[in-house]
Amino acid sequence: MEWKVVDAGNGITLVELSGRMDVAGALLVDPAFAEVARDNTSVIVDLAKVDFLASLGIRTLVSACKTLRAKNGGMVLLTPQPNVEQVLRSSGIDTIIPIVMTREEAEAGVLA
Amino acid sequence: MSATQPHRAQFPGTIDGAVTASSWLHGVAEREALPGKLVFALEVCLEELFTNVVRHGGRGRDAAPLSVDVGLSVEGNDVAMYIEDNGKSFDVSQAPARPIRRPLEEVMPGGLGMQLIRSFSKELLYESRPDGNRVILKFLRQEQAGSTAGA
Repeated sequence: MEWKVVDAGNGITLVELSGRMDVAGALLVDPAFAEVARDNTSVIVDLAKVDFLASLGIRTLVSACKTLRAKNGGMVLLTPQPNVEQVLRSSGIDTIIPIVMTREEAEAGVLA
Repeated sequence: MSATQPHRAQFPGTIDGAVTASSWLHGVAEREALPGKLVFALEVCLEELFTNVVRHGGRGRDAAPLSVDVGLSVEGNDVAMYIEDNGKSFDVSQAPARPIRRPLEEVMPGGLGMQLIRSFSKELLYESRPDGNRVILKFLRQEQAGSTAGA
């Protein structure tokens, strides 16, 4: 599991994840995600290169989103692969963290 | 089509064991030429059940280390995954599947594992054994894995 945190301008932080967000990946990325949520307000999580996600990875995303929302910030999930999108939708995450398919939607959504 | 002999392997009941089991499953699925969507469903269910054992299984029976046996059998269109452990008794078939249906502010992180298992498998069976637990998950090789939600 690898990640890159990028200042996307306009107060938006882009987190690019790649690899497997399985139990090992989630444990690895969790502290970094907590730090991103603590230090920023509007976060786009690019999931295009994430090829596996299960409940521990979802837990990381939900924890970070709660931190952001508590300070009137927000998070959106960008371009998950179909299998990963199925995990997100079947768990109901899409009802609390928007899933979008374009960068424009992501920027509009996270600043809304 | 004739039945394939079940593939079996034993792993330590640890996070590292879960990662190793996932790699093993991936290799078996490749040898069986299982479709990618089914492999993903198998991996999701294995990770959820295996980590559940690691987190809640306690110590193994009779002072043995906690361990998890994983098996996979393929018979025609029917695929079954067996997950056995020597931890505390827990009837996973009775555990509630809870998709998120509330505002983010009220959501507590975690607790989605059963929802994913129910969503990605066709059927879940549980057997309590003197030496631990046995869970059997059934899948269809050709059916779209996520279309069988039983939540």
